[in-house]
Amino acid sequence: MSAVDLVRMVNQIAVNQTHLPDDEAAAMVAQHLTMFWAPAMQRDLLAAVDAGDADLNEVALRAVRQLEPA
Amino acid sequence: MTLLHEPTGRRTVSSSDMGTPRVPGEPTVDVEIDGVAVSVPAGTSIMRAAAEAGIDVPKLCATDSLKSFGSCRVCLVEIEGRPGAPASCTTPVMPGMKVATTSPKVDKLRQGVVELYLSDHPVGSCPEGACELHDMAETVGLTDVRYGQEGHNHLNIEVDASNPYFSFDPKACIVCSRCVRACDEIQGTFALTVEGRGFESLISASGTSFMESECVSCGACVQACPTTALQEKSVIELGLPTRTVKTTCAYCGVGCAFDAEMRGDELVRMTPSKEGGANEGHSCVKGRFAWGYATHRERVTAPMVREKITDEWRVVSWDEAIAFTARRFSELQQQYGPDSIGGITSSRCTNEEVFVVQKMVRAAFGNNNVDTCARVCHSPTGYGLKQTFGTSAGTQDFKSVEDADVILLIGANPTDAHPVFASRMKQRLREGAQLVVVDPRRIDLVRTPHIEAAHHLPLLPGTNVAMVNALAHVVVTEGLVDRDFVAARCDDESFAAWEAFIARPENSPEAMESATGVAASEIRAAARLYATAPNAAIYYGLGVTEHSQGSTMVMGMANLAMATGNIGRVGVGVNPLRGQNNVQGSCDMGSFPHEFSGYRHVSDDTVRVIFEDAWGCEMRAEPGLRIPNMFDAAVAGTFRGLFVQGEDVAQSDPNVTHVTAALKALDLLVVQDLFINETAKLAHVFLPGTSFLEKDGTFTNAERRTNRVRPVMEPKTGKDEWQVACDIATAMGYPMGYDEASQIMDEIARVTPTFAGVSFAHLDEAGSLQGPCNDAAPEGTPIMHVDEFVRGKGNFVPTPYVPTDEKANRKFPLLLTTGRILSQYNVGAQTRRTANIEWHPEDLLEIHEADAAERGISDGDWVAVNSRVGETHLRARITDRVPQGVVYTTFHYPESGANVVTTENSDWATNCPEYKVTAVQIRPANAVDPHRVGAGA
Amino acid sequence: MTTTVYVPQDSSARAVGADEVAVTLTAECARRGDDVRIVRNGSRGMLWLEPFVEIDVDGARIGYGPVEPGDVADLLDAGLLSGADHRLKHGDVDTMPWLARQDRLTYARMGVIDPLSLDEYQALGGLTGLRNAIALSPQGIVDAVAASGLRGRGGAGFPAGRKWQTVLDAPGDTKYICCNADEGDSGTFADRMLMEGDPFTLLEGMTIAGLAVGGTQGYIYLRSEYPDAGDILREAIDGAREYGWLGTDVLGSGRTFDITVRMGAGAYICGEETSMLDSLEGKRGMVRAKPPLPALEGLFGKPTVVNNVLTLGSVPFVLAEGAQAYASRGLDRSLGTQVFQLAGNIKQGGVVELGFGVTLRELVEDFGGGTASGRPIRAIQVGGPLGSYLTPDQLDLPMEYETFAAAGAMVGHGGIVVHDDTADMARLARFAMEFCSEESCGKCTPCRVGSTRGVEVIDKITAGDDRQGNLTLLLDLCDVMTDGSLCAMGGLTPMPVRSALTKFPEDFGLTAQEVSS
Repeated sequence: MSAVDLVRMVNQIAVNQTHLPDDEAAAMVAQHLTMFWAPAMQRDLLAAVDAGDADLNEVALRAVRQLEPA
Repeated sequence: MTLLHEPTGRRTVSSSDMGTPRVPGEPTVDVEIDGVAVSVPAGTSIMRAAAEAGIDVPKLCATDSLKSFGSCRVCLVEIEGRPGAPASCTTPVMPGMKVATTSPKVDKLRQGVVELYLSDHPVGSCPEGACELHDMAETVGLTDVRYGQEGHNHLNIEVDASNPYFSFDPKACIVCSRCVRACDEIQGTFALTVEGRGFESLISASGTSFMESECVSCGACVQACPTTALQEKSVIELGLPTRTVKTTCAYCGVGCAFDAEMRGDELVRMTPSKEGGANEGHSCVKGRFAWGYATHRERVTAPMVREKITDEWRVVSWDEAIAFTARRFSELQQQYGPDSIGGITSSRCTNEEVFVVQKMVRAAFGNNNVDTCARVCHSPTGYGLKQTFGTSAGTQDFKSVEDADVILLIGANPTDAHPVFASRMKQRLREGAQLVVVDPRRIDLVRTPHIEAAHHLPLLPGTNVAMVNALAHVVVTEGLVDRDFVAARCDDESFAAWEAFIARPENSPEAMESATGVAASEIRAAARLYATAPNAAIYYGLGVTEHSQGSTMVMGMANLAMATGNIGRVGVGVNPLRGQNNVQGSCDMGSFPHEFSGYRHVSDDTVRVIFEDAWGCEMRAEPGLRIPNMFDAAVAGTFRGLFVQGEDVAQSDPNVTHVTAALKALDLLVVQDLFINETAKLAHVFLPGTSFLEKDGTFTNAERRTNRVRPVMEPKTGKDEWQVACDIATAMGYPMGYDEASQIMDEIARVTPTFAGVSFAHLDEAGSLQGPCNDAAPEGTPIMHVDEFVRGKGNFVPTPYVPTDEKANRKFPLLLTTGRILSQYNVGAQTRRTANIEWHPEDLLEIHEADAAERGISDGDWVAVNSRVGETHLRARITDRVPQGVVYTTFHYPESGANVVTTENSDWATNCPEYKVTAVQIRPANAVDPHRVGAGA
Repeated sequence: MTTTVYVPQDSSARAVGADEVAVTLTAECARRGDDVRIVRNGSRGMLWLEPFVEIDVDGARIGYGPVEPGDVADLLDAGLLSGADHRLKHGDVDTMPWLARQDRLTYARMGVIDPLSLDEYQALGGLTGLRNAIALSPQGIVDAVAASGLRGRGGAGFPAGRKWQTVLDAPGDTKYICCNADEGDSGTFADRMLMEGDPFTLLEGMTIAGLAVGGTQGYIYLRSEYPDAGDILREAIDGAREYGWLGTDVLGSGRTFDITVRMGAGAYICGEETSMLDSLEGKRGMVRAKPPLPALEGLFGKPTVVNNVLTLGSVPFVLAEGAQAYASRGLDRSLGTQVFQLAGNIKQGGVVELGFGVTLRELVEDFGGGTASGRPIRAIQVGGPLGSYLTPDQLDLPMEYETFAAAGAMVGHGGIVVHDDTADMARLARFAMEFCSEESCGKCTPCRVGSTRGVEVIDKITAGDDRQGNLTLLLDLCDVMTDGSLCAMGGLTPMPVRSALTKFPEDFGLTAQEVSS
């Protein structure tokens, strides 16, 4: 799936956790991705991050790093 | 399973008419009627008490859906020790009362009254059994009308046939006012009146024709009419029905129970059932009259296939269509992997039909790529209520509104979208309950006959969370929290965190004023009203969910309700008004890619094992693709085949350009529908679906009420719709089969704890059942979270306001929002194929006078609507319903292309599209060129 | 020295030229340099003498009438302002037998005072009743009204005290006092005269009712045909508010009571109390089924006292002079006085207030002086257009609710309409049905359809079309209307019809035997 869409989505999830401290917010985002995102989407997102073409915000980036490579 | 009734003549209610409404309370008053002792609640009429005792008092103006009126004077009785002959409908019972419903005196009076009626009533014009007056003449034994008919009369007045569905023939009218009262008391539209007085009294649609009047064609007046004065045109054309099948309306999430009245195999009319828990005998123009689409000439009833979407369709046998479909799906999986295909279930279909499609995906496709059209409407409800209360369900039954003192209505327009529930809400508002409307647009309920909202908060589209936070801020900072409720029922820690969050100054009405555009003082007053009411209830619609913070808003409302103790009893709650007839059901059935039926996550080993045992195959533990993900993946080339059950994604989903590109990219698109819709135009296989009149199954409405849908005719396609998914799965190598639909429900009950107590047999016996229905609640659950929340303690979730990215700017300075209109339904596939188009022949763009003037736009002009993703054309209607800066349209016609301009923005948690906010520019345009519509595609 | 001259402003006086008389008097006195003050008083109720001009001579009121504008100069020439003799002079008004023989309690100030002068009102006992009421508990007031025996003067004669008690006992903070001033019966005008001639009496009665039952708002439902009464009432209400009587602190009692005048729209049926309530609520005036009683669920669904003008107008006397003083008048269960109205073919029409029990003969012959035409009386209709026709042999019936009911008639609102021997009773019976069909609200079938059929059937009888069959049908119809109608309108219409049929069968081309068989 297109990195642009995935990045937009994960960034949006992250900015909706601003009431939490960053570490908790990141954990929450990671959990959300695990619960609701198909493995292929998680995989494509990780690939985009690894390829360096993912403009993630701080919390989203921390969350993605917590994802288990599927 | 079809329930047949004996021919019943005009009225097909299965129980007799008790004459006056039920009076609540214990039967404490003992009376004797014609020597029969009966005990009834205080305040009960003699007429109803007699009916309870099995005695039918003759009547014409009385019917148990309306308050007693006392005009016909046919129901006169004698009471021991009292002079005269009081009307039994208006006289309440008193302890020890002895009543004679028949005596030489009252018998003669009744004859005299009926004789007067018949001196001004057409002779022999009413079909046998169609006119209660003629029945009454027989009942009272009147044989001769001594006045003749040559006196002053109304026998030369013309019929008003302006309404497409029913006509009004004043000749047959007996001026009993049942129609007027039904319009007032039940529907709440006040469109009818009596004109003139005395003998000149005539029923009038407020001085004009029915069609030109305020009449909303709900049919309540027709239902109430005791004669043939108000009658369905279908009955005039086809004759009176001879049998009745009880079923459920297939339009909105109210889920009205209807009697489908048949003459042979032909449907003559649909009449609302008094036993229907959701509608209690009421209906709207869609359910009551707009069912003709089922036999519309454009309906396709044979399967069709084609290799390429540029080929002509080829009509084929079911066997060939299924073999083709199964073979192509299997090939795609072999070529592109098991996850390359998926399916979408439809909230328009029965629970059973939905269940087999998701089972086909999970078991035969072997993945979790199943989603439902609820994705694009109420998925945030599922997420938000699950997080806070523990389950995805509205908390109340509809009846609960009768006990609400304050109603907070957010992002919903019930008089258009949920009209039967709206009537119920209006009844309560006319009784004095207060209303707060949170909506950018001045919906009818803000000010309608005998109702005026205490507060209308016309917020800017996209600022719901700012609003709910401001409301909650007032509750928390002005000491309006129900501390006892919170302490007893909610999670302390989450409350403390939320309280600290919401009390922050940035959440105050004053701070939010610039975001919402609503004066802080109004927000404060509304918050106080809600928080201090004995019972305050929240009702909401897609104006809440279809936003980038849809899920946040749902949680915000749940927080507000918990903080004020408005959960867990009658009269309160958080209530989603579901769009489609079976949104609740399709979600319950496990249509989401991350959840099995009963909202259990696919990663839960204990749950998976239930399905693996039941279905004999392995279940995947990771979520599948959601609808927007499927489209994205299709464009990316990783998703190749899609089964679409009864949903026109090419018209209903946002950013049509993108959706169309995705569908065109698929190698196999299978559409199961009644019509060749916009999506089917891009399909390779068309599998004809069945209309609700042919279905055997269940729908679950917005109040979690599962109703039976019963076939009134054989499937016009020659195959039950649920059979099709079974056949495809079987042909793909996973044998799936049921002898009848009830077996599917039995399987649902076996694998779904909240449906454990549901079966067709139980439903047929109980009428309907509200979930959860299981050993803990054998007869269902009208009100949720009574003693504890489904998740135990109520969970408060902080709800930071994050403005949407979709902002008005210099290029797109206006915000477009969308909604529905009464006579049409969603993308219009059904209603546009009925006479309902007479009320709404096209979608219009509502625009404020100042915005129109600035652009040189006059009322009725064609305008071009541009967003950053597309352009469409509509005609403008200048109105003060929308504030300056906001434009609004309905989306019932494909030509209007509302979704050509809506964007890919969606709810952060569920990807529910942000339909309700699109930044647009408007400019005058020439008359529409149909080829330009959807030009982006 | 200024001479006070009274020229009535009552509508009945104005209808025969009182305004012109007043204008001429003013102009003529100015021309002559006579110093006069002209007071537009209410009518004394001697309608055949209107315009009835009175001169205050050393405290005595000297009456002249009927005065035409053309008489003014002649009267002034003769010394009108000093009470001199003239062919129109009737002497000291108080000693005129027609007035002296009456027992004016409700009408005590009628024609005597300037209707809008609170000073004159109080000088003649006004506000005494209200002041006494303020000193009593609500129950005390209700007890006084109950003990007085006062019954509803609108026609039904329901005990006022019992109605008030029901409203007092009804739960709820919001209660209303509604005055039924939709005086629609032909031959009745006593309500109007009181409202035009002594409006404060009505306002005082309503205020007392408000204090008694806990109501804070009163409405006067006034028929649209009474625009003058409306103007006077509104002016009186303004005056009472200014004085500190109406408003948030009734005469310093700390209690709240206010009154609003609402005009009807010309429907007779809105004089029926439940229709009146519908109309007051802004709806089409339609009869409501009872129960619920208006006393429990009346205006806007709240407990409501609905009383006629004269009922409420009698209350100040009861509270001022005591229940016993009131109850000492009258007969049997019909206590106090009634304001009878003489109309129709009568020589001396007008208003006679006397205790119940006075005979019809005393009213029609002694006060009324017989027919205006001088011909023998043939029929008398008492109690409005839906009252029975009485015959000369019934002239000795005492005017009393129960006696009249026993005779198949009704006292009603006290209107008495006289017909001489030229009256066609079949036409009058037909008129009753026609009146009903014109004025029916159209809700219940016996009244809505029955009245129209009634006209048609009477026409058939008088045309000789199957007289016997149609007579049976008419009598059956009368039964259906009497027992089947929702309200008194349809229920009472058969009364004049039946009485005309049985007493004057020959007018229908029938014999007494045919009618009675």
